[in-house]
Amino acid sequence: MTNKTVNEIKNGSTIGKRKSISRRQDAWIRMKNNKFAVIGMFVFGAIILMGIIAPFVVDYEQDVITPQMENRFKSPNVQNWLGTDALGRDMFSRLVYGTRISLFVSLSAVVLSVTVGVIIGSVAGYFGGNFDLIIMRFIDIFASIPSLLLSITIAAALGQSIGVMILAIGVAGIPALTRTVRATVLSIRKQDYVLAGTAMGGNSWQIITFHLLPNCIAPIIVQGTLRISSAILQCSSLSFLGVGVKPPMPEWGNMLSEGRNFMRQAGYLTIIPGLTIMITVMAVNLMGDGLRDALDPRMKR
Amino acid sequence: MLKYIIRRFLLLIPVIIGVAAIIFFIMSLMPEDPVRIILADSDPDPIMEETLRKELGLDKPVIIQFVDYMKGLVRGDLGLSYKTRLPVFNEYMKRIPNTLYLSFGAMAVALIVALPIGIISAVKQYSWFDNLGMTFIFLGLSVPNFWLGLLLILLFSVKLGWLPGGGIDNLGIILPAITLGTGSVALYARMTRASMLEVIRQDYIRTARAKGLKEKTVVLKHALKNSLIPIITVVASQFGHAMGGAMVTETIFAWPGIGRFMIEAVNKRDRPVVIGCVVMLCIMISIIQLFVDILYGYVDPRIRTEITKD
Repeated sequence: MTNKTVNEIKNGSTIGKRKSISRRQDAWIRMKNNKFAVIGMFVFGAIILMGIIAPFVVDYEQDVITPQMENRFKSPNVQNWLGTDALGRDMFSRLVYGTRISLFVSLSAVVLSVTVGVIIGSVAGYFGGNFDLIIMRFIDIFASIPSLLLSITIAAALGQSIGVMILAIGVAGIPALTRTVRATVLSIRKQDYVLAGTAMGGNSWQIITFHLLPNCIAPIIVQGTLRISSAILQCSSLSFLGVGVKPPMPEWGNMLSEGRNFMRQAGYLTIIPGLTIMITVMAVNLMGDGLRDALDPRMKR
Repeated sequence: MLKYIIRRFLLLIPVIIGVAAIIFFIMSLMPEDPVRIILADSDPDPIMEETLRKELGLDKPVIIQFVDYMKGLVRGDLGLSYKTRLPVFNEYMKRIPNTLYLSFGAMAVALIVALPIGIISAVKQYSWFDNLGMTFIFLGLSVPNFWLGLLLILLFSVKLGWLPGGGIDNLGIILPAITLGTGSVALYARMTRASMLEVIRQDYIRTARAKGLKEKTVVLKHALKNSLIPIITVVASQFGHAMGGAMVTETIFAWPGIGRFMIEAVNKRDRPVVIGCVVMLCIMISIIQLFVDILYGYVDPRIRTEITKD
């Protein structure tokens, strides 16, 4: 046998051989081929970047919150790209800073929902029985309160602050995440490799973290991403209703609510923040739909 | 069937108690002292303060307060508003028809738009109409409804002057209903499309076509009827959420419903009103949901046999 053939056998035949790809790469390729998902990813990435660099481009004290009465209601121009508001503050600076706050609140809230949802969902799904029954009844009760109502109640009780908002929006997202994780855990709990893990002496904690959760990643990512868009909407709704971020701190929702009083004379004060929310939510939704199709092709419409 | 209905009703009780408990305890975390809110005074007469505290039962532990609250709830007594001293239950009942009117209006708008889009998109899958419809729906899903409301006011009432931008009289329902309904359009249309796509591939649809029935009859009579069940489920569950979301819409359009009532109460730290509104809304939503579930039994014989089996 020639050396060449040995190598061929060792590496598998070169004829008709395809480079092997992992599941993650496979999903990434599918994601990359989805035009809309890529656009969504870029737009959302740019918006996040804007939020991160906000303190380096605008001065919070001077540009964002200090009233400059001589500059009131300037329509968009060279100096104030998006005009000025009722107190003469530059809308662009406020919008950039508002992005930082809106995104920080929404993303932290989603992290909270995902963390709690993963813990409760996996534990309930793994142990099952009465334990599962009690936890899921509790989640059902939580879920029967419309999420905006629940957020408002929490915000109303604990007062206006960034931390409370994160808590309020995060808690409202827990039921959906918990149900998703539990359902996935239930579907894989009885599989052989889990049994093998148990047979090798793994304790519950090890089984959950090393065997069950890695296989729940796809639905968690999908659900979590889709949750970001509702968190953004909820965050701005709360501020719009006056129970969220306290002025003068800018946030998309309360900027809209301030602009609303001057709708007749300065329509752009209402239009611009709303448009920003819409573009962001749209980008997240596109990304979420793309991720769903990429990670779980069976769910594709 | 009757046994099933009774059991479902009994199962509602723990849910209501649970919801009330959650809301009650969250609101009891409020840092402000209710007595001071009622007296609207930061430094009231100590004797008056004490009497009022006793009278409201605020000197008791939270658990006892909750039990008292639940006893009241059974009798339809949700306490008095801290600000107006009017019974919360009566105030709620006075406003709920307006919120229901708005929610039904929104549902009607959403269905009028969503059903045709969903049906045509399914029948002509991947056509230009399908793509356009789904894009349109995607936009509807992403638009913040308070912003949409403001834009509608800006266009139709400020600029064009065609429709009133607030209040409940005459044509006042149109703009709020569109605002609140838009969020649901996406869900309904997607559901309709998916459900229709599933049904339309089945053999009996082919048979219907083979019999020479008109396409209209096949789609509307044969396919739509059988794809309605999942649509009804979504509509029913979305209805509850619409009532929760009505808060924002009501605030924008000065709609005299529960939402505005509650937001005002939140800003005035009026605890009994907030608790009462949330608890009552949740009870109503649960009852509507139950009602729909029971209704299925009558609509769909398959579900009826499933229910009566156990």
